[in-house]
Amino acid sequence: MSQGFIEFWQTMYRNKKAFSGLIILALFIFMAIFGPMMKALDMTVNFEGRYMSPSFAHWLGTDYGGRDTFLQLVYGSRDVLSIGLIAALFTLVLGFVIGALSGFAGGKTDTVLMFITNLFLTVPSFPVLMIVAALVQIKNPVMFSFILAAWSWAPLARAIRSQLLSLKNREFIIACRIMGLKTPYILFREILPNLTPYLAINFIMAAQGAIVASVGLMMLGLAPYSPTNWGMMIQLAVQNTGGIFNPKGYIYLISPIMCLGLFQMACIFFSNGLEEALNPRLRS
Amino acid sequence: MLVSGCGTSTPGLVDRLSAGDVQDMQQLIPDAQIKYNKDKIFHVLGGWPKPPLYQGNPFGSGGIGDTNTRYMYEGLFFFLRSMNNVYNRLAESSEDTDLTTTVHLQRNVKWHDGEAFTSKDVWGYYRLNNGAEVTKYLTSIDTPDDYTIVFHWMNPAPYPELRKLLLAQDLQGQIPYHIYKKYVDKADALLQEAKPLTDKSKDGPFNLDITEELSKKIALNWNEFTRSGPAIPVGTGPYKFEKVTTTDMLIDKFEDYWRPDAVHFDKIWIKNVPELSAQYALVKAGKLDWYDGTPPKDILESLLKQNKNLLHYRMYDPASVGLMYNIRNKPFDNVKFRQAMTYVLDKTKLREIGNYYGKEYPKISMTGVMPSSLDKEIDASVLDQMTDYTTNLDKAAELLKEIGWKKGSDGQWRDPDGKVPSFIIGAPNNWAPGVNSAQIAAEQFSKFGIPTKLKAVDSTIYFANADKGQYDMSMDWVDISWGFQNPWSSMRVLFWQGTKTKVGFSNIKKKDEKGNEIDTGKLDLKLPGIDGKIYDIDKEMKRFPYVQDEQERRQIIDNLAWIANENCWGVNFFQNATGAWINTKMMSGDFPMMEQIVQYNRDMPLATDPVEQLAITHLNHGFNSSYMPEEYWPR
Repeated sequence: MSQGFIEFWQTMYRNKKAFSGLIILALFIFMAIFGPMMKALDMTVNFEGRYMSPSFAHWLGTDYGGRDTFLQLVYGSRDVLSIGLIAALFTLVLGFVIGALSGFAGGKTDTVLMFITNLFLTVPSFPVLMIVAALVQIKNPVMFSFILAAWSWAPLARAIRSQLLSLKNREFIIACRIMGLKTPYILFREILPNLTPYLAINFIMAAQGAIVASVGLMMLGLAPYSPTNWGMMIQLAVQNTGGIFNPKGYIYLISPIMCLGLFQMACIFFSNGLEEALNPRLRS
Repeated sequence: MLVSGCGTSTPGLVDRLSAGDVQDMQQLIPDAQIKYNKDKIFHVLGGWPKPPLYQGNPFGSGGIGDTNTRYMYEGLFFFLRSMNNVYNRLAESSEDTDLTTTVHLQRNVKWHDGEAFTSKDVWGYYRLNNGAEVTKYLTSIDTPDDYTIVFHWMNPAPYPELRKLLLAQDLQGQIPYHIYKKYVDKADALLQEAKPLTDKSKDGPFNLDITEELSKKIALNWNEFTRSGPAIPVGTGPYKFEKVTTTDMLIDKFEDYWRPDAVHFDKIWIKNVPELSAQYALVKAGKLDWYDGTPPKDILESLLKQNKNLLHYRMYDPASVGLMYNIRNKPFDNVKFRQAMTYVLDKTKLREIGNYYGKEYPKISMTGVMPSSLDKEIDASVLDQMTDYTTNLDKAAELLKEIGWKKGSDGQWRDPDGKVPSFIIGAPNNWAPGVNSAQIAAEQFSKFGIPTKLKAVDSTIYFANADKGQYDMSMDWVDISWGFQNPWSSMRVLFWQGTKTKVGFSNIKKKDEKGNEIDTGKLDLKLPGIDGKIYDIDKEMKRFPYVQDEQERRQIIDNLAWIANENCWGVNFFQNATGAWINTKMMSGDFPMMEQIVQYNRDMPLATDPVEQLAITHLNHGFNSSYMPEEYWPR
């Protein structure tokens, strides 16, 4: 095992916040992969059994239709995580490629790419998504993630460009150029490692943002409605329980909020630790 | 403030009724005896374009708010939704001859700006708003004097009861001619340029042939009218505009209202609160004196429990929540497939989640008639001959097999080409009963082995998408009659309006002079009726208003309802139930079903007695009904 890998884990372990974030994220990933294999989710309505209190049979009680809340969370985690992670990956790739190319190439390429980036930053996403919703049929999570990423790469691209403008005049990059190394080599072998901490943090934050945004897209009708998506569960809980006006529905309302909150908190904690682990200057 | 609003400091309604404290509910109480609503303000919710967009033309962009219109405007007649009862309002009386309806107007009516209301204001409304449906059945409107207006019907004329309903459905059948003279006179002059209709297959206002060029001029004049103001509404209703902000509107009692004794509140304070949870908070806190709607069962019970002064009445909506199959898409063009899908649905579960207080009718698919009036409108022998669509998974499987579908070992059905389908149900995302029940329908289809997902689409684009056939199945109101309750009215929605476009019935095409195919917009649907003969649905629909014999009219409706049910173009999930909340701390009145309020602890069931149904429907004074100011007073 390489020294760097061991140091990474040691740093993560020492940072209690980061470590707890990592454990929570691991649990969520475990839940998403193995949870649905353990018990089938039956979404058949059992109105008489609605808003049941937590019990051995229903760990988090039941929803407005008498369906098991915990199982919905477990099944929803697969949706939530896959959309979040794929969207984050798209965001990262788009943001890095456009930002890096713009910053490194400069000149007209920079002007054109930054013009496009600024367009995406300034055009309000809501009306555009409305048009997209009218034109595009989302049929799978990959396409859903791509549309989520389409409006989240621009800030990252600008930030990467700024980093590039700073990095490209450093001695080691100038040396690479003098040696006649090709641009892709310089970008991916010399510059990318320097941006890894920044990209890693952005990956986590983009995943978190995509999960929240996915509910908005479902409510716009861009994507098929997934009643076990945590965000959609909150929406349904508020709609069917009136938020706070049905005391019987409190656990059903709070459960997805807690899950989403816990996931976001874990992401933030983990990304803090990640920055420390990947950026030697931050290590104490 | 919240505590006092919740009513904990005052005895609740049941306590008061049990103690015999009913004086304020039997009659209007003198000002000196008003305990809680001393300012005599009626608090309600409403909506309107936010200032500076707000303007006073109800036909202008965004209007003035639907509910608010009812407080500030009145028509010649008004009707009660779910019922056919038509009452005089600005009409003092009316009489019919074979081809005319003469309306005598109330004589002391004034506009809010002080001008007298005259027959010219009614004439002006129909000349300018010549797209109003009733104009298709009229040849002209005369105003022999300021207080008499004569509607001349085409020959043959619609049967007499329908004439009044056609006039009454224009809830605001008047506009201030003194304000809009320029546009009314222009519209009148343009109509006078048109020649009489000779082609009987065409419709036109006042039996006129409106050419494309003339139509453009009329539309231009209408558009100019909608932008012409005035800055604030000018109606003849019991309340006149005082001021508006983004969140609040205040309207004042109109001093010169023609029925001064009928108005008991001095002001109406309308709040604009779009968020549902915030609305419930206001109801719970007693900050609204009247609130429209019936929330989910548990919320309703919780609100009643938390505020002992709240009283809730339920009433049928003249509409059902339903799903329409898009027959433009395969395999929905196959009636057996549509029927199989319908047999899969368990309507009880759809209703429990969509609207607990609604009522499902498991036997029917979609008939074009409001389900609660099926027994009244459709002959029992015809109802017996209709296919029974009560949930039957075996029957669904049998029908699918008949058309070559097979069920795989994975439990999924495959079409004759061996493909597992993947269907989409579209629904407008702001319509909770539709979205909730459609989600359950999607789950029921998927569980049966036909993978189906719901798309809850933003309502600004949903309806255009659904009309274009973008979804395999679409959610909307079905078997609906927002206007007057007459089976022909709901059949119009099925065959001519919203249901038609979502199901995707085709239109008659014809070639123009250049040989290009053009869509006439006329329904092209010919199907066997209950007697086995082929019927042209469009012709049957057009024939109905002119059939003077009631029995013959009933036969037309019987036949059309049977055809609709057999062809299974959609599924009526359940007839919607709505309701009205009253804050009895601030508002009193001769409440319906008074003697049963204690028994039901203020959670009133659907009334079965027609008189009580009528009284409860009076409570719905927004939307397509009129405000009845005389029936409630401050407490």
